This record gives sequence, C-alpha cells and structure tokens, in this order.
Amino acid sequence: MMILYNFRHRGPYEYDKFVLNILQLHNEIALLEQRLLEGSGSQLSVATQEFSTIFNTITVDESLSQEMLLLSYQFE
Amino acid sequence: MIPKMNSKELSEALSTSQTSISKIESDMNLVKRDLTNKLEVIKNEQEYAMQELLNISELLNGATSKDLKNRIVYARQASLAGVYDIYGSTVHPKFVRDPNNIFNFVTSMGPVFKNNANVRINDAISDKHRAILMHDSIEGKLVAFDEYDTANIKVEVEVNVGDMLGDTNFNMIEIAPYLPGSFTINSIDVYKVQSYLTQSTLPDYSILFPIDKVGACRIMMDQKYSLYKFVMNVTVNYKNRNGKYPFGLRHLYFYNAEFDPNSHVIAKIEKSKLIDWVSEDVVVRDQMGLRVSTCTSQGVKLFMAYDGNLLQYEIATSKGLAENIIARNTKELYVKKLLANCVISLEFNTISSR
Repeated sequence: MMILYNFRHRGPYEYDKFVLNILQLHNEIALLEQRLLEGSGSQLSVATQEFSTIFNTITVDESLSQEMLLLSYQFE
Repeated sequence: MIPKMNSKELSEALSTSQTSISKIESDMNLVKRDLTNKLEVIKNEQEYAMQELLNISELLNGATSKDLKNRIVYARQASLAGVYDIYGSTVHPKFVRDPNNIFNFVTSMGPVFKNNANVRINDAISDKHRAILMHDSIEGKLVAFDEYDTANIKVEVEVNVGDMLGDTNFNMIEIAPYLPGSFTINSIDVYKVQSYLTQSTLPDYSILFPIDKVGACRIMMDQKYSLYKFVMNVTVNYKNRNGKYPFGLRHLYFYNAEFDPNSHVIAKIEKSKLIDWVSEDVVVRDQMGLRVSTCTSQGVKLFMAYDGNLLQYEIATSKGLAENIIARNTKELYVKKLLANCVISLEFNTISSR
C-alpha cells in the first residue's frame, strides 16, 4: 500500500494519527474476537448446537415422517 | 525511549486485523447458511408431515380389520425374531460383520470421509451435494436439500478413478431421505470401474422398475460392483406451498457387506378369533416394489408355536378350493420368511377365522 504524507503542510502528527488509526483498528477487532468467543459468540455457538440437536431429532431414521410412511405401508 | 513500530510491523498489524475480520465474517456466513438450510428442511418436513397426517387419517378411516391383521410391516412389529438386520423400513439378511462404507474410513476417532467422488444433482455439482456420501456423525456435514422447479431429479455419483482410496466394491445401498415417502425412484444405474476403463456407456446393473414411496431403506444388489458411477432418477411426488419440489438426502451410503446365508425373520400374527386356514397367495412389498406372489416362492412358512427359538407345528397354506384347515385351536401364527433381499411388508390374501 502506497501512503503519501503531506509533512510540509500537516507536519509529523499526520503520521502519528495514521499509526494510531491502525493500532486502534487492530485492537477493536481483537476485542470483537474476544467478545464473540467469550460472550455473545459462545451463546451463539451453544444455540447453534442446540438447533442442530433438534434438527437431528427431526430428521433421524425414526422421524415423524418415517413413522407415518410405515403407517401408510400398513394401511394402503 | 518508546519503541516505534516500523512500517512493516504496522502493515502486519493491519493485515492480521483484515484476516481476523474476514474469518469472523466467513464463520458467521457459514453458521447463517447452515441454519438457513436446516430451517428450510424443517419447514418442508413439517409441512409434508401435516399433509401425510391428513392422508393417514383418511387411510385409517377407510382401513378394514383385514388390513390390520393380515399384513406384517416388519419395521412396525413390536417384536421380531430370527437372523436379520433392520434399517428404516426394510429388514434384510444379517450382516456377518459391520459393513464397509466405501466412502468413509472407520478409525478410532470415528469415521473419516474419503473425498474422492463428485455428486451431481440435476447436473449441478457442489460440496453440499457431496455431503450425502459423508457419514452422518462427521462434524460440519453440509445439508444437501433444495427446492426444485421440476419433479424429475437426477442424482449422480462419480468416483474419481485417478484418485482411488481403497476399492469401491459395494453390494448394498442405504438411502436416508429428509422427506421419507415423498419420492419415487424410477431407475438406478450402476457403472463399474472396468466399464470406465473400457469406455463402455452401458450400465452394468440397473433397476428399471419404479420403487414407490421411498423412505429410509436399504437396497441389495445381486452381486458386488466396483463403483465408478451411480445414477438414480427420481420423481418427487410432493409439491410444497411455494409450488416447488423439495428433495434432499441425509445420506447415500454404499456398503460392501457380507450376509449370513441363513438369514430369516419371524413375525407374529394375532387374531381375535380362532384361525381356520391361511391362503398361499401373498402380496409382498420389498426393494422391487409391491407385487403378488406365493408363500412358497417367497420362502414363507407358517407355524403355530415359537418357543425357545424353536418353531413348532407347521401349518400348510391353502390354495384354490382346497382348504387346509388347522387341526388345533389357535389365534396366533408365526410367520417365518427367508431373507434374500430387503423386505418391507408381507400380506396374506386370506386368513380365515371362525
């Protein structure tokens, strides 16, 4: 990435601001990752797992539709 | 002195942040896609189940006591005896040992998927479709389910012959649909590896008769085939509220299995009155569909008692005007059927009682 600094008009603080922006962005993302892994993210993970369990219960070999299919074999 | 980061370090910090945020985004998208697919399955399953419930209610209203008492649906029997294995709707000859699932290694850590085949559904190839070959217990398995505009669907499995991981010999298919009973298999074609090598375009094994209302089931081949290509044509018989044809398979396994040649299944029939005679004619529903047959050709024998793994007092069946009246007073029968393929149900035309 090519960065152009206008030191003549804006002085060296322009560079400091640029560095701080990068570090701030980095820290924000690191915090977001942490929050996701420990907070809402872990809750999301638990909820996803619970949902998968329900999904597997519905779609197992002995599902409601399968039971009804067997019933239809009995009476058709 | 406070150390200053040089431009390389700053660039790396920026790059790490970009990677992290991209990973978070892709993880979230994966979760979202997985949930959306599963919700689509649940929505269709519930809608289909409601419709089937209505159909079952109508069937129950029209059912006679004959339907209840003369027909054995093996998977619905409270207790079965004999030498057999059961999966979904079907009973079949017993496995001598656990069958080898040709696309999944068995390891101490659980099954491992052999990623050496392509799966096309209506000519569309994707990882999602390939997941039908993957063992259900493998984490992160995708959901191969879609709503289609057309009722006719073609499922193709093609092994990458240049990337073979072990042999692909199989003699049994296991099908687990997301919507059991919602489709008919019109045909199945199997092409051997040898046919690929000789560039033959004719299938080596075919099932050309329709198999109606397919649920979780197994289908036996007449012998072992080294799988190169498997083509299954189905017609979806159910249209959902969106006017689409939902179809998906939880899995499609190819087994290399050894079967016990002495396999048989014993089921009990109970009547409220004393049984006079039983007809020789039966209707059997097996992997070849529903057809009329006889006890003799199906390897069916009837007995009055089953005690200590021993069948006693065989009963002769009756054909035409000759009625073989049962000499003893009995209200129950034990039906022994030899198993040569995958069977769903067996119905006697008549079980006369007094």
